[in-house]
Amino acid sequence: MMPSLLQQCTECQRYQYPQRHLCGHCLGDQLTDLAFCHPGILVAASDLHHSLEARFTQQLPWRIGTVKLDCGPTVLVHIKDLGIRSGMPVSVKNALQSDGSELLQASRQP
Amino acid sequence: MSPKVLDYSGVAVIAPVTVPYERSSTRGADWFIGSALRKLIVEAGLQKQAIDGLSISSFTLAPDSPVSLVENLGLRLRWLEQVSVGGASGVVALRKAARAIQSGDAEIVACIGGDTANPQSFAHLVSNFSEFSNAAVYPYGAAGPNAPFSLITQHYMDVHGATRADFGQIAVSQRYNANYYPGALFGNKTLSINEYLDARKIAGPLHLYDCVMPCAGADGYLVTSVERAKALGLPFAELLAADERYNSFSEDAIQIKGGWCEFKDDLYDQAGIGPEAIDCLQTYDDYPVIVMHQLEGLGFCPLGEAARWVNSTALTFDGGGLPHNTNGGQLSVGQAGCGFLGVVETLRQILQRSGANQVANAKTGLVSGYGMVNYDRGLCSTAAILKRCA
Repeated sequence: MMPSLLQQCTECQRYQYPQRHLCGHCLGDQLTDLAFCHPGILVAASDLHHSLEARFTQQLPWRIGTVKLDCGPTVLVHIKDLGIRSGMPVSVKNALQSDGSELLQASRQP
Repeated sequence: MSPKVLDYSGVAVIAPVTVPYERSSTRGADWFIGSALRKLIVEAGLQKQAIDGLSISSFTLAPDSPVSLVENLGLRLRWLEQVSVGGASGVVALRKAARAIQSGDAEIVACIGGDTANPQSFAHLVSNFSEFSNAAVYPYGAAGPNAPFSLITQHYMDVHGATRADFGQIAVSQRYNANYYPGALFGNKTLSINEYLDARKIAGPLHLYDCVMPCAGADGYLVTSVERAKALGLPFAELLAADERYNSFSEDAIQIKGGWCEFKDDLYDQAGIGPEAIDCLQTYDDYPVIVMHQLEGLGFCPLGEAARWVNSTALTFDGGGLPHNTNGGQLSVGQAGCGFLGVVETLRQILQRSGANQVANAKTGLVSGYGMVNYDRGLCSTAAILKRCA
């Protein structure tokens, strides 16, 4: 699976996520891919108790969240640290999973 | 100032039909859509070749397309449309067909939303819904639409103080309505607030009775001119107003209101009535929180007040409040056919064609649609106001 990347438009400097081929603001096609290492605020979180795939079933409940990044975009993330609450500042980073896939994970800001 | 929008005068909507919903089917979407067409021409007393326009909405028709249906069903048309805005499609199809009638591009348009369903079809749809969903939602637990809607619901609860019991008012009242509508897949089961609260956990605040069951089925209606409807001798509804919006409030970090807020005032202006004149309301209930967004966005209560409003207003078809999702809605009937259920139920109610769940003296109905969670929110908001003529 491709790593999840944040994009920045070289023309208007805006950030966007999920990835796409054109800037959602100025429609320019010169986009720079950036690994995630960005601060934001956790807007909402919930625990999944049901999954359509067996690889998740053993890990349930599995917490997801919505993070509003300070640089603009909203990202869906996995949350391991169950102490994180809505409204708290968090950092979003790419995290390697045990099956080799990569997901965005929110953790407390250091 | 934007140009004044033309009204929908001269347009008649007739012949609401439903091909009964089934939990699962080995038949294709073409069977459900074609069977709806057959019911439409029988209901209206028309020859098949009188239909010269067709509007199709379906998630499960692929690899076929609407034009392949034209050949498959032996039609000859001069107007063809595919409306692909998920749960907003029923209202959007109505709006576009009305313009085709007004312009003379078609004389009788059959609007049909239909789907087949089996366990594989739903898994396939969810695992390959959109580029954004494939890359940025599905890998996060493979929970389908329950994942984003659990976050939208939790956020609404955090901000407005809504509780699960408030959402339960919607699910329980709809089940009551479904108990009087034979076509509802859950119509033979009652649902109490305690059963709602004690249900199996699904995702965050969402439990079993907050989630719709995808199923097979089809709904349809015909759009034509008032003259033609009168010549057919059929009761008909007029389209007083309709509107649609896409990607509204994209600046909100998470969805807490929908596009209805943007057009509500113009909608009622065009209709010449306000929300107090609505005899029955059908909202798109893929999840109860979205019903609350619609109640607020369409002016039935102020923003953030829907949780309190549903506790003080009877939502049952015979409760004397605001009859809402009067056949049980998707939560109790099942989810098929891209938001046509609400349009067809509105027509049945205001044309006095409902059975045991008939709302007494219903003449004016509002139906709203919502659809397409491409990433983290529904992108489409629609509504229409229909009124029985004479």
